[in-house]
Amino acid sequence: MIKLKNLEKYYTNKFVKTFVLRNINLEIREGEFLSVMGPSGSGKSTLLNIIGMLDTPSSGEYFFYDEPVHKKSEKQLTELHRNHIGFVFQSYHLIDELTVYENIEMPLLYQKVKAGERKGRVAEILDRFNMVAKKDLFPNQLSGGQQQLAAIGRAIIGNPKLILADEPTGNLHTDQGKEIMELLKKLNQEGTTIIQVTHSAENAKYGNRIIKLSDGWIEE
Amino acid sequence: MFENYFKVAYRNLKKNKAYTFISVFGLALGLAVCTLLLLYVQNELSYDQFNKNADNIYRLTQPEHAYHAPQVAIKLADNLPEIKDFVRIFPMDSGIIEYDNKKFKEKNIPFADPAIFRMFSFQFVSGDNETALDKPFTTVISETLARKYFANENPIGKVLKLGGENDYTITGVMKDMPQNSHFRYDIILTLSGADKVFGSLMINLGWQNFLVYFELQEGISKSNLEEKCENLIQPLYKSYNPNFPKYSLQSLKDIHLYSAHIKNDIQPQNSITYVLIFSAIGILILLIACVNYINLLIANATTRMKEIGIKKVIGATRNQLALQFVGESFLVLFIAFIISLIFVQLGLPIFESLTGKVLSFTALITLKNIVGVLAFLVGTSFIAGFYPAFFLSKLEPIQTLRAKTFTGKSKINFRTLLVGVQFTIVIVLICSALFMFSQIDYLQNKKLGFDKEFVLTSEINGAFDNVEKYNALKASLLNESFVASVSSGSRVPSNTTTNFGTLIPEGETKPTSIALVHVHQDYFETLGIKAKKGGLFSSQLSTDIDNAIILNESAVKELMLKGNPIGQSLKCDWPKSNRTIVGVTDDINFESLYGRVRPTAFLIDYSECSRLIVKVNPSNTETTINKLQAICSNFYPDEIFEFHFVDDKLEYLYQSDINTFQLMGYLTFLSIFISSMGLFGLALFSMKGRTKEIGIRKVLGASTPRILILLVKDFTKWVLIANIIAWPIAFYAVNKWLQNFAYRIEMNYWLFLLGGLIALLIALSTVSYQAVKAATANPVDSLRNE
Repeated sequence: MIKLKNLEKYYTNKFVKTFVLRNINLEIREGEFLSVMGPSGSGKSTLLNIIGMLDTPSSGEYFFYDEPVHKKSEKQLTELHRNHIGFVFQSYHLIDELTVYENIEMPLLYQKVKAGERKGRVAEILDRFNMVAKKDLFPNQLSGGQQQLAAIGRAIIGNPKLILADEPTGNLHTDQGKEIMELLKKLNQEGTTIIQVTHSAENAKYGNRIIKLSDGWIEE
Repeated sequence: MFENYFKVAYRNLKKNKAYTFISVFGLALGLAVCTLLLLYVQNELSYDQFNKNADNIYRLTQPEHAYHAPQVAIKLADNLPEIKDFVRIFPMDSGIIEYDNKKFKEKNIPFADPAIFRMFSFQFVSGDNETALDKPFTTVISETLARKYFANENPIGKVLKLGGENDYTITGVMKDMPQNSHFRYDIILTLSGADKVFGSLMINLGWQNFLVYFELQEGISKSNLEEKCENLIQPLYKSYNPNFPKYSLQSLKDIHLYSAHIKNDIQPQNSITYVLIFSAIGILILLIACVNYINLLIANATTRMKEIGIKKVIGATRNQLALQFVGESFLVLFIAFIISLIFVQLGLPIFESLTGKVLSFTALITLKNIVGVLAFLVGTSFIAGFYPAFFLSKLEPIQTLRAKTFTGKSKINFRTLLVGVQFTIVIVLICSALFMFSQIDYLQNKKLGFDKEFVLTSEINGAFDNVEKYNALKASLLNESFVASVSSGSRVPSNTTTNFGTLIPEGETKPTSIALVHVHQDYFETLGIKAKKGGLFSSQLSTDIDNAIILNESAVKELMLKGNPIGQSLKCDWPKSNRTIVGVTDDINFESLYGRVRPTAFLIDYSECSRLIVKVNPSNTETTINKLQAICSNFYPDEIFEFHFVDDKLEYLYQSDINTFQLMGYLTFLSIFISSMGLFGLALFSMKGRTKEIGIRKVLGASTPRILILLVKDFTKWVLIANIIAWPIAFYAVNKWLQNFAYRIEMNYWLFLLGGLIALLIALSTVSYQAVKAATANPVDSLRNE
């Protein structure tokens, strides 16, 4: 599903190159649950952002379903975001001005899904996450765990093939974290490919493969 | 999708109440002011356009006035085939009209040629506009006058007596002349058979009291015709005036706004200068409001980076994001526009009283204006929405997600630059208002050379030529304790000096044209005018009546009298006499201070004295005036006495400037208010963005005053720069305006400094509130929030 070849990311400041990712060669198959671990500043999030096409590599090649991502236009990347990738962030990144329902519904609006179908799909997600009673609340009226549930709901409503989770439990209590990890595991079991970045060895174990990053290098 | 955009926009506006209020209220206010000024400008530009033949109608003018002898128009029309028709108007200040044994003193009674209703498009309610004034002693009145005299009766065929002498039959009733006509009358008397009324004056080339309008054939070259007119008139005046003036043709459409050079016009006109000033102010205030709006929208958008980032991650295209921001911008503008219409409705009565106009809001509903408003709304939404729509949505999503607020260096500069522009405008307006205020104050308080307070005047139809009757009236008036002094003259200060005669100094042959004021003896004492050299007229010396003359200083100069003027002799043509100079007065400002004091001579001639002057002691105004009227009517039962205070009449001369100043004052205040609101909003965002910085600085030991200085410094710097740009602009504008006055204030540089200081204080006090709040906050709170 994903192939990274000699991928590098660096920032140039006058004459000094600061490397964030170095010579990354990685292949991720469909249906995998990959955990990326490493200390702060090792490049985990950058790698995830590049895989999620939110950031661009400085050199190297990236293939998504054998298509060269590094050659795609902004419009094509937007299409990929819409239809194939769901994101879960450590700080949830829900839109404060929209209710739970509206936040979850939003990706469908950009996919131009018809109103009737949208309603059904959002209802299904709310039901699945036991959030029906919370649907009209705004993010600041929810606990962290509930916000992350809504964020996951938003990530999966478009039926993406890939979910990218950047420290999804980083801001949560242990119990809430566990609930989220169980949910991700279930999604993986249902066929969604998941890549998570985590500090926690325990959470990493939910994945069926772990890679470690150190100073931008992969130590598998 | 649009529903979603709308929800986000609505909730965002609701969440940021201060931002929403400032944006919407500021814009609505700006739009309302602009709309009102647009109404004013449209009205000013519409003068005389209602005339179907407006393009072919011209007025004959000389460099300083537009008055001609009655024969001039006939001579030109008879000899120049280019002239299709002509109309002469002889405007009379006032007269007594009698109907059914009731007398009314009417102001503005003109005589005009019958062609007036063929040339100008005044609408008739009854009668035939083509022929209404064809017969001698006919008149046309307005609906207002018809109601006043005849209530519901049909006025056609009724007879009005003018000045107790001639009977005029009403042959037509016209609708009231439109507000936007450069002359408006309620009655017009025919000039047909005018020789029966005015006798030989109608062929007197010196009797230059007629305005002349020509309707020209299509496609005539104006300059050629002007030359032909001059060639025809010049020989007529060869013996009168060796310095023959230039003649020109002024388009009817130009009369209202381009007649600043014409003295004593048919009715007071406006100047294109004020139309331009108010157009500019309208645009500037709208600009200030738009700058506010754009600034605040950008400031607000930069706090919405997260939203932009998330939407991009979810799959929103740049176009979709752009559409959302432009749409939001349009929504706010549209709300502001609707509110502005309410403001316009509320503000219209005040605006009407300030401009002295009756304006109709519906006049704005034209296709051109609707398209203009739509273009403005779409254009401004686009400009305001442009930055967030295209710049922020271009950023990589990960950049936007990382930053809570965007703190690009260039953007801050752009925003503060806009604040600078705004304050430049405000400073120009403040400085202009300060100068205007000083000038009006100067006009009202300048020593004019006579006592203007507690002096009452009344004009009569005839003259105080019967000395015994006049003296009896005077004695009767002086019997009253509240009367200090009584006199009479042909002119009193606050009037124009338009009686011209010629004086020839002894030993000279060349006549010099000098304004003449014919007076009774106590004239100078009543007005508190002192002699600078020599003495004044004395009632003890009967020779003063036929032999004495008093000059003002300008007249002495104009006549080029050598040595001591007292005792020198002059030959006078009105009345024809030889006179000796008995005194010289200062240059008394008879007219408004727009023009220089004319060379003026004073002489005793009872037959010309039509204005009674009464100096009273301070007392109850109403009782005083009533008593004066009662006494005067007792002696002159055929006259109607209406007394006015001279200082009120003087103030009236500057009324249009006082109104303009008041309007300017309001507009300046509004512009300050709108910009301050914008600055307040911007400070709000700016402080919010620097909360963490302030917290860290405080933790590191910065004192509150130091932080205050840091926060206020940026804004202050821009206001100071704005001063430097604004001063030359204000200097140019003020200097240009002051050129309208012959007597004007100096360009006081401290007024510019004062203007700048006011702007700075306003900016500082606006920003300080936010800055003090931010600087005194507990750093723990701000850092915890991060």
